[in-house]
Amino acid sequence: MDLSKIKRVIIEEGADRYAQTFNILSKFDGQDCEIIRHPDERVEYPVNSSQMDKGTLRLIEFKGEFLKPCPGTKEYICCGYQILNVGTNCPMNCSYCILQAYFNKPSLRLFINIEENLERICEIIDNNPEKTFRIGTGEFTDSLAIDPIADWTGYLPKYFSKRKNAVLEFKTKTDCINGLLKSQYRDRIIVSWSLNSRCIASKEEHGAPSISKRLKCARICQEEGYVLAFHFDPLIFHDRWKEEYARTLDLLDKYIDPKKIIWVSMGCLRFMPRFKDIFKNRHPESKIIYNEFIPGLDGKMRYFKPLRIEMYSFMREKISEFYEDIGLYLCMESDSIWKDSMKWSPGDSRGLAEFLDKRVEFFFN
Amino acid sequence: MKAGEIRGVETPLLIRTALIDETPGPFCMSFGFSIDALKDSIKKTGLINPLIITKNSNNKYIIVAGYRRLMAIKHLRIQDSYCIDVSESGRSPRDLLLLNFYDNLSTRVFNDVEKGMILNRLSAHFSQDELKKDFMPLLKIGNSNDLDLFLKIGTLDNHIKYALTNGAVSLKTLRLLLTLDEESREALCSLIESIKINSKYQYYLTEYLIDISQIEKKSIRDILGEEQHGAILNDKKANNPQKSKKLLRLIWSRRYPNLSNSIKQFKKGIARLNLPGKIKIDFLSYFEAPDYRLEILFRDGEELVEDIEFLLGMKEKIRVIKDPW
Repeated sequence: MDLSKIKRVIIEEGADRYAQTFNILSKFDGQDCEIIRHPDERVEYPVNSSQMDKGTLRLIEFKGEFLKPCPGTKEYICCGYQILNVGTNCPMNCSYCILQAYFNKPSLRLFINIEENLERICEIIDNNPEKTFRIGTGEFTDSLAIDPIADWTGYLPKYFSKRKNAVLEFKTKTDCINGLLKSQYRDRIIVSWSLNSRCIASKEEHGAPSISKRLKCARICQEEGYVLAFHFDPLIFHDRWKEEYARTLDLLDKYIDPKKIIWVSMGCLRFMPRFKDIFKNRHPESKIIYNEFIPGLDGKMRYFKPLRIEMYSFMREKISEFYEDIGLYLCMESDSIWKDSMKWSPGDSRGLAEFLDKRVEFFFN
Repeated sequence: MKAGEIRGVETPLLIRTALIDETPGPFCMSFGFSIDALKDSIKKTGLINPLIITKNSNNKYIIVAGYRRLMAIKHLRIQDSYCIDVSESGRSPRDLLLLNFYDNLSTRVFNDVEKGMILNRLSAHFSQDELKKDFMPLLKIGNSNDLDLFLKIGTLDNHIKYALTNGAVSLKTLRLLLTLDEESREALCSLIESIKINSKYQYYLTEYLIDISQIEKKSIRDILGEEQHGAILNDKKANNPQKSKKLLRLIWSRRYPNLSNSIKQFKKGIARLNLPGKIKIDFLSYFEAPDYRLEILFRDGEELVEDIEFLLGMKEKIRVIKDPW
């Protein structure tokens, strides 16, 4: 990430007690960046701020739970992922990003007290040896976009690399892989990229590198010994979508050895109803929300069922031309969608978790 | 000025009504009102509260507070009215605006257009934060994020303002209408008014039309001008609720073609079963739920058994029920 894009760093109350704060601040030495230390000087922003204030970095002593299960709903099959909450928001500006509706606080927000809490998190992992913890940092932020500042790849891997019942996934859209390449840890670390059609990447994923660039980085990581994963989420209907997604899959085939892919997920575009207005305000040029969305059983807007089935079926068929055993799964879909599009179903969330846990076992044990 | 102090005791004077400008002026906050009750009151008891007036830069009297009373007086052709002239009171335009605001606030409820007018006028003297904190609560606007909406209302064409004031267009719908270009907004507003679409339907209709306009890259005015819509609107045999229902259904099918087609196919399949009226088979949650629903109305166990046997008798036909895609 280009540090010059950060115009202001706000150190929130309590954050200056942590070494990480000073490590981060040292990276801004000599940069044209305003540093605000006093918490009283915090700027309050209105809810649903349309600008999201991505030029401000807030260093925060996070008081909540760092490790949390993915907020799945009982109506759809969830993979049982665990989120390591390292921060929220990201410097990219993807039109479809649900974080725009999910968080009402703007700015790039880094939780600087993670390292102090990692021992406790590891205790939870160690106290549940029968359970496989598939952990990721890429749910509420991009795992690598702010890594040049936050240094997550520098200090997180060692805690997970040595544990036999956990994996840590860095999920990204970026080319910020320097930290990963410097890291000595490979075991039980997964690096994954969010992929889309090139058309969606260029029109909707503002500030994110091209698909080829992402895949070139993925190849470098694969060559460096990292296990990879890919996420086609969100899949989005657009003109010539079949052709466009097939092209991305061709690129995947070109750059990546499929045998070292632990899983590939798919999920169609979905959003909370209130997101539509936020989307229209922030991305008036985009048309992706003008499709046949209906309220899902969890209240989120989803493509009408046969449209999702068509999209997943197409992707499954194409991906299976590329490699059969690639750990392909659906994110938050129903049993009937699984059966109709994937031709099998894990039945429920437990079944999907077992399927993915076995992939972990196969790749790392 | 200290709290409790009476500012400048201005004595009411009799002033020629014709000398007071009857255009609303910079302090007016009245829109879409009826003066019938006021006229009646003035006729019976005279003017209870004097008008408050001031002189503008052209040395002409303009109204500060009492615009409705002035209108009633002019209608009644009363030649002279008691007025308090505050021209020499040292009050600034901001003071006069507040004077009228609090005068109105204490005696009546504002409609949405008036709230928009008030906020627009106040915005010349107060910051957005002050409007949100100090004035929106007084105007009973709960969500401070609605400031922009109300400021826009103040600038709308009178036709739409009247539609909002008389309830033909709801505030929720107006929020959507404000995202449209003027031509489309006008066309849609006229349609809503002409067939008196209720607030729920008008909101959905507007939302679907906005989406269709985006999907088909066609203006709402052009969409509404299409023949099939004209046929519904000009159908002399249908009443307004029938027209609005039919129009909404047509627009909805266009907005959701796959869903609409699936519903049609499913219903067609069920209709082929020729089930008696008390047995119903339906889909759930836009087909998102994994199951379908069978509903049987029965009077007693005996009748239920008969119904179940009836259904069992048509097993083969029932077996073909499936997702309609």
